[in-house]
Amino acid sequence: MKRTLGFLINVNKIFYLLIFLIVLFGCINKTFFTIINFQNLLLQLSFDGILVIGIVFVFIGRDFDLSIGSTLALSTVLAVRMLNSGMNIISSIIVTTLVGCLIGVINGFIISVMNVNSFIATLGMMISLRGLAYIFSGDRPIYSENMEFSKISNEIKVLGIPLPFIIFFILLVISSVILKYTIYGRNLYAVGSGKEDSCTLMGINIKLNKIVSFAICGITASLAGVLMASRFNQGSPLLGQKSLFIVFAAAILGGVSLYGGEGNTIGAFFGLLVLVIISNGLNLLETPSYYQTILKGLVLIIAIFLDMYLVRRRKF
Amino acid sequence: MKYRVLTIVNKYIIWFVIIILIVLSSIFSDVFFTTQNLFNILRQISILGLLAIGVTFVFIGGSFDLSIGSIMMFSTVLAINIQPVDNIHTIMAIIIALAIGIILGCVNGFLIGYLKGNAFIITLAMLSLILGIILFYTGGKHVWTFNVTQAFSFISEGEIFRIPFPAILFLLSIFITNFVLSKTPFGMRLYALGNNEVAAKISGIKVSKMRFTSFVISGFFAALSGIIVASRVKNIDPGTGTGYTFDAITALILGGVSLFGGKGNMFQTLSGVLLMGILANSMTLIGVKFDIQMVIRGLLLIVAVYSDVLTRKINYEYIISKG
Repeated sequence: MKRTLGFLINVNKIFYLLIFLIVLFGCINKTFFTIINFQNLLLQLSFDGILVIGIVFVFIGRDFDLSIGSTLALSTVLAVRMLNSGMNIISSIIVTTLVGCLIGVINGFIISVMNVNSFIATLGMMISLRGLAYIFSGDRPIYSENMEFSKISNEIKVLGIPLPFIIFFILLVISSVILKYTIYGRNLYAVGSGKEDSCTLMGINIKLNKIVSFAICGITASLAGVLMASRFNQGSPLLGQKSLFIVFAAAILGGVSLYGGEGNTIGAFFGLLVLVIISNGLNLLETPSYYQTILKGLVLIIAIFLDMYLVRRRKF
Repeated sequence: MKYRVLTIVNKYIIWFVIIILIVLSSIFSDVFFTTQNLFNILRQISILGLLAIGVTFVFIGGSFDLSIGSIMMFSTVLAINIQPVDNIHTIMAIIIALAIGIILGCVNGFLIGYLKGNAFIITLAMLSLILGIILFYTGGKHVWTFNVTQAFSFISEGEIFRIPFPAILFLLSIFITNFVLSKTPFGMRLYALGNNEVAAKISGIKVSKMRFTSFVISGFFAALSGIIVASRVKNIDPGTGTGYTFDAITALILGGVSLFGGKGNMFQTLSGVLLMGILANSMTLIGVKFDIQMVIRGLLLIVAVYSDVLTRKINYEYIISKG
């Protein structure tokens, strides 16, 4: 137990900030420590959380994925359209996730096999997929006619915990196990460390590895999309435009390196938790949203420099 | 021979594409090849173009700037909100809007050049920060202005010898910045910095200062294009997104400016901006829907970069085969 806790604190310098924030907001606001607020917080957390899990895989492999927001938007539109054409819920979720997986595989193929820089390739995909989302939705939000669908994110609770958070938590556990204990996960860290020659000599299939991590990212993005569609009971090409900032910020705050080969999903989860708690706490204090935008930017800048100087001190 | 042809083709391929595009658009649309429309295209691309000029400096120096869109929005909002209804306020609007761009560029440059923060994350954070400040400043409300002075509307609507003023500003900036990049010590050092930072440092180039300056230039040009937007639209909702950032980056990459620094010049930036402007204009004239335009633009970006990768690979094989 002690070892696990120590591991957590070591991995996440952000942990202290988190405790500080919780205590701070708990002290100044009565509603912060209520069950309803926590349920709300968990629900807010889960959509971006699922996105973060995917992006961590891509970051560890030393790549970028800018297309997650657009994949999310496309998935909301696809899921709702399939439901409206009479498909049942489970099969529409499966098909949407498969489409997400396909998008990821295409991303991975362009980047690893065709050797295009991941930033540009996913920038192109970001624009194209957003366009596709517009085409499929007919340029406007479409509402789901299936009454059961919106219950997934809004009503179903297990022991008071909203279903999206449970899905997120399961994915979090699975992803940390994959990263820490499977051959693929260990290889991904090796690939991300940037020493391609040693990886090839070790017999790691770098290309396959990258394709798999992009596929995982696509799957998580489309899953988040399905859950978000259920939350708002609509599919809209406008969704997910702001996710990119919060997801990248969370991963970086949580110690996932932009230069690859470092970090894990639990760290990124804590990074996200910090951002969500800040916005939740400020919401409860009825601060205008622009303070939050400013504060999030500041937190990100401070976190980078804290991280840089802490790492530097350890080195010398 | 094959190698040489390919290099030439790759170097000028974007101009071929632009010419083909112009020919095709002229065939499919009667309106395209009229002086009116061509000047219209020039007017449209100058906003994106000025933005792209600034980022070119940052890219050549081997850095990254995602905050240009919000800097541009900030200067637009400021210029409008100062209410340029008389001469004093017009001058004030222009000066303050430019100053804010330079100041924000300084902040970026300080954090990235001197404190050595990662450019991608810092400018991502700055994007959020600046957007928040804009909303704070305006209270999230729509800003507008009436009865602006002639001088202020001249910035976007004025014409000199029938050439739109923004286009003149843009082309002039292209020539000036190209001169700075290719003929001055500053430009040479910037290329050196982008190619190899360590080597640049060892050979006595003040790396931090160079990087700082490149971000200031980027901020300045972002503010300049913001003023043109202000003069053109005269009212803006600060909550609307800033899609210009990615458009500018797309234009640079289409033109062939390297993401990794040390490569590219202003005419490549010009070609990328022209291609995007002509493409958007002709697709609209032919009647392609906006959503399909988006898909085409995204795919074009990937194809452009892939062609670059292919030629580089062929060059590499050529070098290997020659020993």
